[in-house]
Order: sequence, then C-alpha cells, then structure tokens
Amino acid sequence: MTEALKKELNTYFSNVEDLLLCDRKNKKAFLEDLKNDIDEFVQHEPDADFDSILSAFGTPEEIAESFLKNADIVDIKKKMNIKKIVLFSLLAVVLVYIIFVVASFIDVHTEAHGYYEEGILQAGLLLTGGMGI
Amino acid sequence: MQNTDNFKRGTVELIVLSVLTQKDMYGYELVKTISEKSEKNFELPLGTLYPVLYRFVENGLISDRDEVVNKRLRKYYHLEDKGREYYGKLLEEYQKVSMGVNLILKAVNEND
Repeated sequence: MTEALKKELNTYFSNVEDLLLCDRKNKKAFLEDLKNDIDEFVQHEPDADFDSILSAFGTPEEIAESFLKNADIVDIKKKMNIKKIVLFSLLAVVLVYIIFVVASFIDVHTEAHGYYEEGILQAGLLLTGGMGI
Repeated sequence: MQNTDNFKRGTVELIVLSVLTQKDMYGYELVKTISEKSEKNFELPLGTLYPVLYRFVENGLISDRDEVVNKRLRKYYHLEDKGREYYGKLLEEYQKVSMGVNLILKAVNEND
C-alpha cells in the first residue's frame, strides 16, 4: 500500500467515524472491521487504488447510511437521547450562569449606585471629616 | 431502487445465517461468498453486514473469535446452536412467504 493511499484511507476512516451514529463500542468495532476488510481487499488486489476501494466498499456516506438502516433502533434512540441530555444540560448551565451574572450586576447598581458613603452620628452631632456642626 | 433495498433487507439475516451454516467465516469472506453464490445479484455492503453480525453476537446466535492469519488479525464468526435454531425458523417463514407470493403472482398472471 502506497503512502498516498494510506493517507487517503485515513481521511476515509475519519469521515466514516464522523458519520456513524451508534454507541462507541460498536463504532470502534466497526471501524476496526472495516480497516481489516480493506486491508484484506488490498492484499487480494495489489493494484487497487482509492477509487477501486470506494467502488468495493462505498463512500463514507453510503457506509453510514447502510449502517443506520440496519442498526438496532434502540441503540440509535439511546445515542440520540444522550446527545439531547448533554445539550440541554450545557444550555441549562450557561443559562444559570447568565442569570447569576445579570442578577449580580443589577444588585450592585441598585444597592450602592457604584459607591458607598459612611458617616458617624454621635449625640446629635454629625461628624464629617473631623468637624462638628 | 428503494423497493429492492427493502426487500433485500428483510432477507439479510436469513442469508448471513445460511452462509455460516457452511463454515466459520470472517466479514469480508462473508461478503464475497454471498456475492459469488448469488451470481452478483446480492451485493451486501459492509454497513449492512456488520450491524447484523454485532446483533447476532449480542443475542448469542453467533460467536466471534480472533485469529492471526499472515500477520493479519481476522475475526471469524461461528454459528451457535441458538443461531441454527433461529435460522431454521427464519427459513420456514421465508418458505411460507415465498410460496404465498408465488401463488399470488401465478393467480394474477393467469387472470391476465
């Protein structure tokens, strides 16, 4: 196998991995099986180029589509639900953080107008800066 | 084309199990054997084959084992007793459906 073909195949496997919608265990197993089978194909057809591999095995999109059509629907639903849960959790965290920041900003500006003043009142006298009035 | 795909999908399990009744095979060998035996009328994409194999392994219908052949790792699939039993039931169902379809087509053609 030439270096150029290896490079093209690495991109090919990467694309397949990105498109496969299934649990991690099956994804890893399938990619390993696919790599072994393509290895086997190239061994039997030493003159094989990338186009002949695509013809024999399909494009990443075709592979992902046929995998999706034949995968266990329960696994796919589980995978989609996990993605939803992670997305909503992240959104919730971001929302809570934004509310906290806005609330803190409002709190600071309504209570003290950005600064505060302190004075001492003793026996009817207001002492300010050391002077009695 | 979609109607043909739907039809073939329904028979993938039957075909994969039937080929494994002959001998243990690895993935690529399964694809080649099915293509040859069907005289290229049935080309099974790997994306179709492997989810079926993984499901069969999970359900105990087949088992897998790794073998090193020519410094290359191959995963062989073996049909278990449970798989043979399931294959028998699938085959029976297929034969019933096939007979029913043929009878309908024959009756329709006779009416024409």
